[in-house]
Amino acid sequence: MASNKQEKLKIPLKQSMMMLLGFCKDKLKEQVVSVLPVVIYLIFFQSSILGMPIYEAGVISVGIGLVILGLAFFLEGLFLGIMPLGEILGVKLPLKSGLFTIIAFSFILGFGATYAEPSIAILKANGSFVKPWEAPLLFVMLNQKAEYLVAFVGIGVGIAVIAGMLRFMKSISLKPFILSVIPLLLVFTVWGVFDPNILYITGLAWDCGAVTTGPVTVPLVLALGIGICRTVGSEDSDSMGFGVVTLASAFPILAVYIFGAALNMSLPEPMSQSDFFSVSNHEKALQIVGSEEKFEAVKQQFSEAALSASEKVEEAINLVNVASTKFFEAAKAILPLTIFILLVFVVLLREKLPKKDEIFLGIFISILGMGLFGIGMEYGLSKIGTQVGSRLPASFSAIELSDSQETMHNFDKAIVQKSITPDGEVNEFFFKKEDDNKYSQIPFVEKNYDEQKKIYRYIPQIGPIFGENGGSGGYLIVILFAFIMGFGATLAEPALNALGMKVEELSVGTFKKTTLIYAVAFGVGLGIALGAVKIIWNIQIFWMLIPSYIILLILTLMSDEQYVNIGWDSAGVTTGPVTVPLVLAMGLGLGARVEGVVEGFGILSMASACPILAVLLMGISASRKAKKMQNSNNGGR
Amino acid sequence: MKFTNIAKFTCSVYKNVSPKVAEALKECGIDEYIAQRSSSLVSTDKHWLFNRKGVAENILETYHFYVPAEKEKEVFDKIVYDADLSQEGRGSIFTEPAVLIEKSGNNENFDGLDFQLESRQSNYMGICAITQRGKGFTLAKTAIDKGSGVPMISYGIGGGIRDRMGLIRITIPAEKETINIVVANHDAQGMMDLLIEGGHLDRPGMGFIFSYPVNLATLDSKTFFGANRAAASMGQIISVIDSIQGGTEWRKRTLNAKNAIERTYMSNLENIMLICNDTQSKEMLDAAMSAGASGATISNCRQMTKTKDGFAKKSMEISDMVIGAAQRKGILTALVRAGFFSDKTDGKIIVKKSGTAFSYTDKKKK
Repeated sequence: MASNKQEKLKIPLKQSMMMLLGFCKDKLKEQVVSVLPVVIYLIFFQSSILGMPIYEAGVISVGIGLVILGLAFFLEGLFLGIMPLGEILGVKLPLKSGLFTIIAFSFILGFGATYAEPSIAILKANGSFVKPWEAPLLFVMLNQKAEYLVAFVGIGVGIAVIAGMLRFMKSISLKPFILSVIPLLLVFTVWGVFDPNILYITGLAWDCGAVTTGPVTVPLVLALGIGICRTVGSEDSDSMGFGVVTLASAFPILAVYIFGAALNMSLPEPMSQSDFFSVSNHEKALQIVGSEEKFEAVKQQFSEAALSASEKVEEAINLVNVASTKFFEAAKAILPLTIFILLVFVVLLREKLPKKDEIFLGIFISILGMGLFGIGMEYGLSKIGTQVGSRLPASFSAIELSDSQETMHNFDKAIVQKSITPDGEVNEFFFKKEDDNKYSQIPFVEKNYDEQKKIYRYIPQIGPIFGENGGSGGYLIVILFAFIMGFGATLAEPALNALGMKVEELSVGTFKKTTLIYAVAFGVGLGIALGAVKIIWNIQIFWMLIPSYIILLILTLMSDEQYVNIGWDSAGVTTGPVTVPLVLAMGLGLGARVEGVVEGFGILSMASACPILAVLLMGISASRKAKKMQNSNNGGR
Repeated sequence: MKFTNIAKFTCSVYKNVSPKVAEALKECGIDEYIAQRSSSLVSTDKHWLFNRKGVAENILETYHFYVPAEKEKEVFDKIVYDADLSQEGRGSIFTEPAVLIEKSGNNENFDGLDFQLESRQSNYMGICAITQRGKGFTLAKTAIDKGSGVPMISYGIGGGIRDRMGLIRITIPAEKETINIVVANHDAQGMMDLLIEGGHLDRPGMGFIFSYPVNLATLDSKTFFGANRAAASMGQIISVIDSIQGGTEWRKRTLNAKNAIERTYMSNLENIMLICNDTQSKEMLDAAMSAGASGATISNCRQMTKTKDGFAKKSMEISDMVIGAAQRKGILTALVRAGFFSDKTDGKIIVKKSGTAFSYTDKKKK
């Protein structure tokens, strides 16, 4: 009421500035504490353990500063604007609208969130690297039918949000959903062992599950669920509003598999490249690529000449371009969703938005934060992640340091000398004079020598640092590295922070945010270490996924509803914008050293499974303790 | 408006006991109650890695409800018996004398707001401390270390001066933590001093503490969970002596704060509890504050109301505020005028007596 509006308290500018400064200092300190461990660890690992300098240290440190700044802004924006908006809508929606409206709203929200997620675009962009003869189904899904693929993922998320909301309204446990959907996913994964076409989309399917639960969608859906739970459901629903994230990860995987299985019926098996371009197989090839023009385009793209040309093109990274892309992505991820919710609130529910100024400020700074964070990742964390990741194999095998390539002018082949091993193998080498008047022996490789220009390009090698080539000491270091990096990166994940805060609040401090974050971080570390094991010894992903998910299903049956919801939700939030680039960099670095492995997929899916394991185990132990305490005083009656 | 003399019950129990309380409430014919999630803090054996502080926090279910004053004893006894609350480690229950103000047609009897609250001599005193989120632990730990019963901790959002600051308010955290304990009357003042000292409530911006008279109480004295080193626990022994002595008077002791400073306590206060529809509190508190209220703590709760087929759940908000007794009429009038009893807000007001209160005050201003 207007008559009750109080006078605004005027705070002198100087005092406001002091308050703002103190506030910013606290918020930045929180992020420094969460980001620095992984950064310090990466720097320490590269410079002390691998004994190599950090390249572009200046740019990287500015980038890391931006990551910290961006995370601080983004999280504050989430807590100030996006999450309160979701929660308040959740409270009001069931009061003012019928079941149909809630279902329609949930579907649009889930479907829309998929299109807003920046990672979906990256998935689509990967389509052009897929070789149509190697993985026909994957090629078709990412090229010819890419739009359908995104729509299927969107439908999956939409249905997941509907299911999540109906679950709250009818107070249904999350367990039956997990126990029915996850085994189905495992069946598809096992099918992949027998059908190479399905095998190739396994990575895509599980990745789609991970990318739909991004840093904006998760907090928003979480807040919405919490709001809805306040209004509907049984007297004290144990889910407390969690669980939608789990469904939003699982349903899209299923949707992609179903879409893939349907397409697979009319597609040929993988074949060799020469078979693909042979005349007798032309009809099959056309089925895969779609049309005659596209067939020609593919032929062009994968011809020898094009391949070698594409390698040489180096994308010039331009700060202005990166900045505008990142801010555009941030706005695209945040604005459509929040505007949709605001419209529903004002037009459909005809409610006045409380704390309007806070919510708008929150939305603005979350965009600002996400943009800054994106730029910082590109220049800082990803860069150092790639550096360490690509050099990591040096701990167990010899690798070439392409960054420190040297060019020797006036190279005369006459200085090259020959040596022989006891087996009679002849090697060529030459002496090089170093800066400090020492001479080092360098192996001579014919292809690095340009006879006309008399130039020899020398790429220094390093490693194996620990023990012999392929020695177990080196592997151990890599596995340990993977664990600590996974642990550290998870501490900085924004969506996990948001989840932890809500869990602490709803459990009135009995389930601490830090406890959850550390449990999840431990799980992610373990998962990434297992992923590294998978790559080093080239173990089929199937052997890791199936047993761990079977254990998870058993633990789920044993756990309390509350921990099932939180545990499975934490899997969705861990594969976020900090962990994924670092893990992929490590996966690619390791994969390049081991024959036959080129994907980081195995690591990511393990990084989702293990945190659930950690949280469920912690939950089982906590519930046991609580029960023991209560049983010790069960009274006379 | 309708005014009723009531006994306001607060019953806080562990989750395994809560079904019994809910059942007892139904059997007592209480058609409407409010339930809220809160937590308890107890000491445990320390563990160097997993429990360095030697405490455990557990979820409590807190029920707020009221009955006509004359039925107080009957309902109290039934709940204590049915939920077996005389046994330690299950939960606490206490009652406060209060006046309930409800909507009654369109009758806006503002003069009726001038009623007198009865003051009775009682054996117990409740202490409520409101502090910043995250600082409640120290207060609760201080309380159990000094021999109080199990504290009840709940979360809320503060409203007051902060809301009048413009956007710069976001730099001050609004999240609050409320700690409620009930102690024997003779311990109350000493405990308040200890809590002020332990929680640094005498520093600016740290919080607010007040006491309130409690009529009947059965308190959970099991503040330690761990290996039993004797045939009976200290809590059990104390409760037996309490019943032999017929009260807590025998426990009289001096709770001395380390730096016993003469503090100026505020007095002649009342505690107003506003219960209204979810998200409506903000608007109502604006009205109360323009009429002179200084601040309030808002927390979420669910109201369970009896319907044809069982109990229906509704999301509500409770706002707690402490005001000077002389301010009551002005503030409540402003609230009613702002539509506190309208269908949109659907509010109820419970007015209780408050003992003394303390918060940091700027001495220079005085």
